[in-house]
Amino acid sequence: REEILIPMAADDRRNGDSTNHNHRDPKKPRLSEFLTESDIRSEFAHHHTGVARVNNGSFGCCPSSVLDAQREWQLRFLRQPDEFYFNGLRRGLLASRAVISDLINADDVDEVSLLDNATTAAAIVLQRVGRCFSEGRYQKEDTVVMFHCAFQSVKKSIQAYVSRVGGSTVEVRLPFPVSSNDEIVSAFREGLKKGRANGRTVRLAIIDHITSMPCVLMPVRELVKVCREEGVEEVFVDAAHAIGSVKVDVKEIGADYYVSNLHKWFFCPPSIAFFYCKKRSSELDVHHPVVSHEFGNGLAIESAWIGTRDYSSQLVVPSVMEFVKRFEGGIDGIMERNHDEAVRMGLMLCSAWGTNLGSPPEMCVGMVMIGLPSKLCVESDDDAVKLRAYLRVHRSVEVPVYFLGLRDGEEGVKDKDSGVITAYVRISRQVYNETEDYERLRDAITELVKDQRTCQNLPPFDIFRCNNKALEEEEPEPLAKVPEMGEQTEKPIRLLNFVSEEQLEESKKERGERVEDGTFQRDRALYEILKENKDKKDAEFNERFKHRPPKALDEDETEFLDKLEMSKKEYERQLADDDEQQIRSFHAAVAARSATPQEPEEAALPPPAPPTIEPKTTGKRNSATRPFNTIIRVKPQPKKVKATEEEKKAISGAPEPLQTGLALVSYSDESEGDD
Amino acid sequence: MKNNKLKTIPLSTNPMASLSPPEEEAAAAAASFHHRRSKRYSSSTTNGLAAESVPDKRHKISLPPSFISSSEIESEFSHHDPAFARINNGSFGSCPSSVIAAQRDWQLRFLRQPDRFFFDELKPNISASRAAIKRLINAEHDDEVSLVDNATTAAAIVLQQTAWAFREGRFDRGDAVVMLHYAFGSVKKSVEAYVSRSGGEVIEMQLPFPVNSAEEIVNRFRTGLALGKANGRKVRLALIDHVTSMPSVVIPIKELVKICREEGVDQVFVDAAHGIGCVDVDMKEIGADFYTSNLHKWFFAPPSVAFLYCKRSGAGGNLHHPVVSHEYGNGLAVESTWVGTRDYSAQLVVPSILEFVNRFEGGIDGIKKRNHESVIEMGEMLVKSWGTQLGCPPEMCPSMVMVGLPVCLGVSSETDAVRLRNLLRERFSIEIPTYFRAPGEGETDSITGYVRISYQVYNKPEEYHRLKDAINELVRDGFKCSSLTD
Repeated sequence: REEILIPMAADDRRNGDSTNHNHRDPKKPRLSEFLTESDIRSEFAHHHTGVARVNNGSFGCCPSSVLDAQREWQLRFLRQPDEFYFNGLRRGLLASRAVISDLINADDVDEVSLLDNATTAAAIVLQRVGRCFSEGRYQKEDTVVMFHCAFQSVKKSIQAYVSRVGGSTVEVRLPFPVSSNDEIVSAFREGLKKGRANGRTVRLAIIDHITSMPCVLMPVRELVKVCREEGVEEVFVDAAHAIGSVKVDVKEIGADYYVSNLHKWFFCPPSIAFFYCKKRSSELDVHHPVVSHEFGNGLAIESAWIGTRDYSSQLVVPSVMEFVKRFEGGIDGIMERNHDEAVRMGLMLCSAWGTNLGSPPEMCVGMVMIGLPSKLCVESDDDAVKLRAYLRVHRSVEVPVYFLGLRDGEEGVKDKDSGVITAYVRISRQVYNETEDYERLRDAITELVKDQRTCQNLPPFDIFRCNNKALEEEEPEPLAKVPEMGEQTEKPIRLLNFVSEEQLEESKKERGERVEDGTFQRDRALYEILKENKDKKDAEFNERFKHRPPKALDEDETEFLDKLEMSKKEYERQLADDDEQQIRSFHAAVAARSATPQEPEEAALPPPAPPTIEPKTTGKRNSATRPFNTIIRVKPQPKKVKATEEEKKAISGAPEPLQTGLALVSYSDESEGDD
Repeated sequence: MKNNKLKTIPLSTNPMASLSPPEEEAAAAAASFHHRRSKRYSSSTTNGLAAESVPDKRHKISLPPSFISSSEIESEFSHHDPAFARINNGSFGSCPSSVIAAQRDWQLRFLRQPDRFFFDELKPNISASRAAIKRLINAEHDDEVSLVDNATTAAAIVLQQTAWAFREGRFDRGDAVVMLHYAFGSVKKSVEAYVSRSGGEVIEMQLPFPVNSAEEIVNRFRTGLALGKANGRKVRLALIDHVTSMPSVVIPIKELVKICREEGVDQVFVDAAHGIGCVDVDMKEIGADFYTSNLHKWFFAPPSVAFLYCKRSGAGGNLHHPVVSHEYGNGLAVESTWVGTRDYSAQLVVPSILEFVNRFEGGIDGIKKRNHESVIEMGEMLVKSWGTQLGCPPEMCPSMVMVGLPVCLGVSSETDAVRLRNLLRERFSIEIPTYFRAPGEGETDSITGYVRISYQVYNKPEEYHRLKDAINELVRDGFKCSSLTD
């Protein structure tokens, strides 16, 4: 049962949860209450249905109430731009900055500037460093120290602004998998020592608050302290993932510059980041690279006008606060539950796969790295790319895959089959995620292993063929399920004879109405297969395709999948065609959507066999010296609530896959047992 | 179609001669508006305007059977505040609802499944936008066209490159960058931030205003260049506006670029914030090294998107977007397609904009031509009523015109101009920028205040009449700017 707290602002004091639904229209905005699961679903109704989106970390998400607020701002500008520019914009931006300033415990709102993203902040900081070099204030060969897993854009910015003018760079290798903060701190100390070798000065240290890939929550306070002790001139914390993910207190952290995106974990639309600049730094020479008439008025003011553009995403921060207040505990509550749930799901995957987490739970956030079974034989970045694409295209799971190359002499961590773990997935957990999302990932991997698939013999990426194959394999299964769902029993044969297009049309018509039972996923697949033939001939697509500029491949985790565009392109295009149709039907279906949208798919997969693996893995995990006990301790009340809810949901909503429900229970029991 | 249009025409009353009460006058003005439009529609079909301007055959084929009607135009811009006479398209532009809807689709497509959008849709669709622009501006290669936020960003990109050349010793300290005195404020600041700081000398060329002929500008420019080259200095970059913003004048850009070439200027950067949709933009004819134009001002794009053209044979390879991502080093066009996670939707709607403008006779060129004619007509109406003059001859006006204000208003400082603008907004609901021109030495009773009127498809004559009446009322009441305070 969800506990209902009523924020102070609310004057109509209503309590009770279930009774409330009986006498009030649930569609009405009930700002004084917490969001229900169906509220959350409708806030994120624009998400692609049927995709297990366990990758909030890459691009974040934005609820529709915030999108609405953004549109209002956009319209206000378009309605009368001059008026908005002179009277609305600055005030609106200031309001956003004030909210953030409070949230991050800055001394003064002037310390907070709004930018597009962390990449822009990196350009600002590094441009400054570059000027110091070229104007002779820094000596050639003075250094910038950073972690090797710093975001690719940051590395490129260093190349563009610092290396070009003679600065040198020291990259500290982040130990991974990592078991304690001390490992990181001592590696960093080593790096600083290297940076100061030969009488050089370390001019800037770039520290990630949460690294992106592999994902680790860094001991940022300690690292900043080390920098101060070692006389590093300036410290820039790149916290692209931080706000909404961990508690951010810039005073405690004590860096000179701190940037965090708000569109990743703080529910903002793309794109907005705040850039904190210690007050004394504002007298320093920090400027926005796009120079307007505000040049020289301080970074916050400079950033508030960089030419005519759409500032709406920077104006919605107060609306985001409204949104997060509708969750128990506000953003802190969300953060805590995301962390606990991500860890719980991570452990569930570990035990199913017989692998380990990439870092102990207290070094995880709403993102967790989980080792993949060694039997998958991920041997290169390309393999990781392939696997990720496979999961997206064949399994509708969106999750980034990380390849961990071993260096000479490294032994690596072994999984239950005594093979070295060479790859990790990074799962994210955000309010819209459900346990089924992770179960789908679990089953996809388990099944690959069971089928003795490796990255070298994944189904080939001829999408058309793959899809047919998938159909052949999976079609009979759901067929059996359909009658059991208690619907549409009159035409079970339909799917077997899917050869004709009329039948397809017909079935689509019929099934449009019960989209929410999850079977429509299947329809979509059918529909796509047939449609693909037509699309293949689509000349316009081919023309567009030609316009693609040559792609540059690098290690950037979000970039590397580019390689597979060729093959995926057509498949995805169909999906896009289907999108509109889906959006429409989804909206209609959302309210009534049952709790078991993916059942037939789950059912289509071979039942996982966790019980046999479990005991083994538990032992494995403990032997991997991970202080797992702590995880469990962090686990708060609501999680238990959620688990039972989900369990209930799984059981009541799904007549058939009791198995899944049981598995779920057993997992949570198991982690409870660790307590 | 023609018949429909004609039906709306009552036999014409001349609004300019009319001194009738405002309501009747508005009606008359509206009538005249329709009359004028339909006349133009029918006349321009005969001169083959439509054929030459459609940039892309595919779009031509998808033309609706008839051109957009005035009520359709009204509904495309129904989000505009109806209470306001918005005769200032030049400052922030405008965006029709069909394009806004297209933009929202793109936004939603990103939000729906961001990873997929990023990997599969973003790049090819930005490329499609770039290709469309390339055809529109007659560039040689797609690679020459990059999409950025706005002209301010483009200026930062070009000037950063200049700054590097100074820092790395390819240009000598004290080499010159020349620019027009009327360059946009942001660009001037960019020059300060990037060029002055790296050791470049900045020379501003004073331009006459009001202007009587293009020769005046060309002559001043020659003088300025000569100054730049004094003492054996090299002029490394000439920064020329295509249409100056305030005061607004079309600069004879082709002649100036030619002069730059003759005089051995290294690079020419044309800042055409008001370029596309407002004046003719043909890269091969203009021949500059860099050319940037906003699309959200006169090309119906939502805020904000601009293109930056970099001639392939020029120094384009050294250009970098100041926000550096993993695409660094892959050429400016590619670098600009990813400058971190952000909303790229404004850059993706270019094809939708083409669809919109092709619903007008003659496409964007037809729109441009009619806007120009209408704004001149309105400008002349105003100067006749106020007894003043235009800031430059009609052929040097784009879709904006500088109109002199009655001397008796006593605009005697920039503050006065700003206050007058606020007054017009607050008391008369008119949105119009004002300009203060300091009187030259020995001038008495010269016009010191100007307004800049714009004309875009959604404008109607009664809006300009409202401005006319407002100023006349102020004059009648003996109003002086000196009586205004904040």
